[in-house]
Amino acid sequence: MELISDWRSFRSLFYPRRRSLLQNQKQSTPVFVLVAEETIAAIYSESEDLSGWIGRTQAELSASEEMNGRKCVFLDRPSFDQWLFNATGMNHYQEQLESLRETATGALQEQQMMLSGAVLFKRHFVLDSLRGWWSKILPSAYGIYIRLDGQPGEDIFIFVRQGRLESYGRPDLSSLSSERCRDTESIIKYLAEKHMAPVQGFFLNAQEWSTWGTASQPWRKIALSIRSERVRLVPFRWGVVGLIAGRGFLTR
Amino acid sequence: MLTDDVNPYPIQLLLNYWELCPTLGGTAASFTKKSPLTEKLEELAREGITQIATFLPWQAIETDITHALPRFLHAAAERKLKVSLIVNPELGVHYPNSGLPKDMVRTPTELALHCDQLPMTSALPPNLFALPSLFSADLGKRYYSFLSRVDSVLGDLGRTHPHSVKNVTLITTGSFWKYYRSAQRSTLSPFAGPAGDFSPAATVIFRQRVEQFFSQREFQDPTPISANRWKTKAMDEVNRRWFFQQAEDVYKHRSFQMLRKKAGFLNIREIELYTPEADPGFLYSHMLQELSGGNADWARLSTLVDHAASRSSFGSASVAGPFVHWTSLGGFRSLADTQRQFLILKSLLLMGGQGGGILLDEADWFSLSHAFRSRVSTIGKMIQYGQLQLDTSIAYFSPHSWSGGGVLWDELQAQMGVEARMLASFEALQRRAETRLTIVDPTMVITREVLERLIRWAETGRTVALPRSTLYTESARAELEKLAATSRRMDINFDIPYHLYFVGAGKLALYEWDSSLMKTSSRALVQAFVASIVALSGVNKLCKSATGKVQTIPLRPKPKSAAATIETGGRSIFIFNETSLASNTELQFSAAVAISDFATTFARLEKGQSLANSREAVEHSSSFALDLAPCGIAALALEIPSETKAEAELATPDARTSDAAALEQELVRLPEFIPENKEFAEAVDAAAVLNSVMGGMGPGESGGFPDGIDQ
Repeated sequence: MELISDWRSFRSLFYPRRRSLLQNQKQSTPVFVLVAEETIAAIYSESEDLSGWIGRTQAELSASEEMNGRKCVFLDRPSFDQWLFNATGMNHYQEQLESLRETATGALQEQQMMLSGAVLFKRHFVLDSLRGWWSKILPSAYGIYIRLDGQPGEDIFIFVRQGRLESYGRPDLSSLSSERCRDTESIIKYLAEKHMAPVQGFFLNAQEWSTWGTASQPWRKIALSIRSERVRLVPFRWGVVGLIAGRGFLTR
Repeated sequence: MLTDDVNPYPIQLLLNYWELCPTLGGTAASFTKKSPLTEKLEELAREGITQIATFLPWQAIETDITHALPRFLHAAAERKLKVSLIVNPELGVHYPNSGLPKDMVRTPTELALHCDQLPMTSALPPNLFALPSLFSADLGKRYYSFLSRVDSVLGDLGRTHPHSVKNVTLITTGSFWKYYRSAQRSTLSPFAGPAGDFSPAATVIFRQRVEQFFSQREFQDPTPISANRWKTKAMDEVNRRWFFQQAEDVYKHRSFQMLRKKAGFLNIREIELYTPEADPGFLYSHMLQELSGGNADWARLSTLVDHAASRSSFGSASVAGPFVHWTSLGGFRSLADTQRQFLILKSLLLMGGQGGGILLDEADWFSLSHAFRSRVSTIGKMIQYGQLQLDTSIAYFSPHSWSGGGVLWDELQAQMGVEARMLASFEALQRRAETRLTIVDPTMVITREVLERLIRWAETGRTVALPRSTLYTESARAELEKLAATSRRMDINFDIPYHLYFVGAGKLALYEWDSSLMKTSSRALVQAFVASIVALSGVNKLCKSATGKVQTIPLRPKPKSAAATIETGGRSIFIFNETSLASNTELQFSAAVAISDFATTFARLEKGQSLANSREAVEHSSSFALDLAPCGIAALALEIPSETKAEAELATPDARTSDAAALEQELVRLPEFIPENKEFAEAVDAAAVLNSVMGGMGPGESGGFPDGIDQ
């Protein structure tokens, strides 16, 4: 069986666990508040129990010394409920989260607040690129297969259509023989035929992948890794290498 | 079928067979000797795991053309692994829509609505979806056909490959009923407000059921028109409570029966599976966390576990052992190791102590440190052998397990902590031998049968607190009046006054209740009332912490377990620091105790050594200071010198004296619980005087009881 939205594998690669904030960092984190008729319906801030504020008023929170100097992001609870319900019509969690973030950002912009500076959330550089201007030059439908060797070894196939992530998960290669499964080109060929779209494979070490994820200029690192053959592109496409290198060395 | 006394696997490891698709080194035969599934099973067997659990997603069963389930069972049986199959739809399953068919969660008319008439969203990956209504006719039809298919697949397998299903246990759960709650109200306080499905489909069935229920003869007394008073709009809130409970019971019963047609040879275990990350009370916190990119609010998760553990449900034929499912899908994964360990241990003790346990993804389990796993496994074994049992000293008898209990329940929970339990089934109450007091919710409809059963229960040396409300049937009222006329009575004139009747060896307290007491301003009155009723029943909270954010979980061996016979005083207490800051607290015990290190004590017990000479010498005291690390847990073994005598009394409730002198003794102890309340002390003195006077009065002479129940 193949899960078309294998969140476990996806998150493992694109949302690695983050360390909790230290005690002295907490005071600088934003506070997210859901408000209904001036009353606090829900409140969240990383590593803090602010539940005592639930049921009190927005004005009290804003005026409190506890919140002095902290950024409070206020969202309307009934609207939030509606956003959540609207998101249920979408296919998978990643798409739903992106939609929620976009809607919240839009709503906050109307209040002349910026969500981007207030969040700890950082989209993975690969997902960020797929949503950006690359979507204009890449094919309308394509797949990316990433296999990480090491302990534990992981692999994921993501399929993108019209710049949107359509599915993600470990591909079902059960119809390939053991021999063909060991051949990287056969895997990519099989996936391309199955999805009727070009597929780019990346074969690398798990450690290398995690280094990219934390680097300030990951695309430059990838370009260097390709040059030093620490990552293998299957099939090797100059166009893809050019895009990566261009992004790594020409853009900041 | 497993009995209530058996808790074979308090720690269940989850391995979802459908997730292990053959990616690497796969062959056309996906479940052959060298597939990811078989490799995983072998790995688990090497680690010493003998039992695994897996969900059966509805959709996966409907579309299982490759016979993945039989192959999985066969592969597990070959490796001598016992398998628990969780059949009912639950939240937190790593399958689209948690395994539900797509059309069932996309059709607006099929969706469940909470009390504010909005759909309820499940926010756990792999996707957000709105909960469907279990009252929907289409869903019901398809659900029972799914169960029939499961029954048929397993039945056939039992016939053709009996070895494959030899070690299989079917697990039935309570499904979505517990999640039918408003996120807004549940955020304010977990399980606050009315729970249940308020969708049009549910409302139609509700109306039909109300008509049917109140057409019973008892409600038509004295005239058929009398039944109308039960069916008014004003009674909807009361009626919906019992209706939702009945609907859930029917659902559980039918599910149970469906699985006994062809696969009746399999063991069925009924549990209540609760996923805190999927709780409506965690929805906003979780989504704000996702929006911000932060880590989960572990304090909230901990609170939810407390509240879930305080509610007990009954299955079709047995008490449903409560289990907490920590998924690797929601906020739990993002927590720091100490916080995850805190939640795992706490939920294991709270749920395992009641015959349940925890359900953890196998990958999450192995991501924990070896030392922690080893400690938790030892505790799991102790739970399995009945050495760590959580007492339900006080039961709160409510018409619905998942609805808010109101101020009375909140106060009881605040005062008694983990020793108070909300029940909605009399069978569940009867199976708790240690329960000494039952407080009946003011919204309970009291029929003659309910009253008789409660009185019979009280007669065995226990106490029942009944509300004086309008929700008695005529015959129940007559029965109570009859009892009042033949029993000695004592009036306790407190802020919430109550009449006390002596029934058999026990007591029946009839308390005055009106809706104004539901207001927050009345909290002090309710607080004093609860304290007095608890004291009256002779229940003592073993240990209190002087710091509010420190929780204590007292556990004891099962009365008949082997551990209990090893030595007296096999109690233990776990102390949890619920904050991220170091805490210093003072533990106050109701009697002088000697404490020692839990791990050392039980290690010696395991080796068969005597405790008497091995325990570290600790002075007997009723108060101890304790330092706790952030999210810290301390475990202590207790020795209570006075326990032998008290336990002897508890073991023979019939032997407890019910005469006026004994009552006086109990009443005199009341001021200890509310030392600053002079009014109450005076009331107690007056009661004691009255008591001595009553010694010479005959039945029915204590002021009569015609005003006992409001009509």
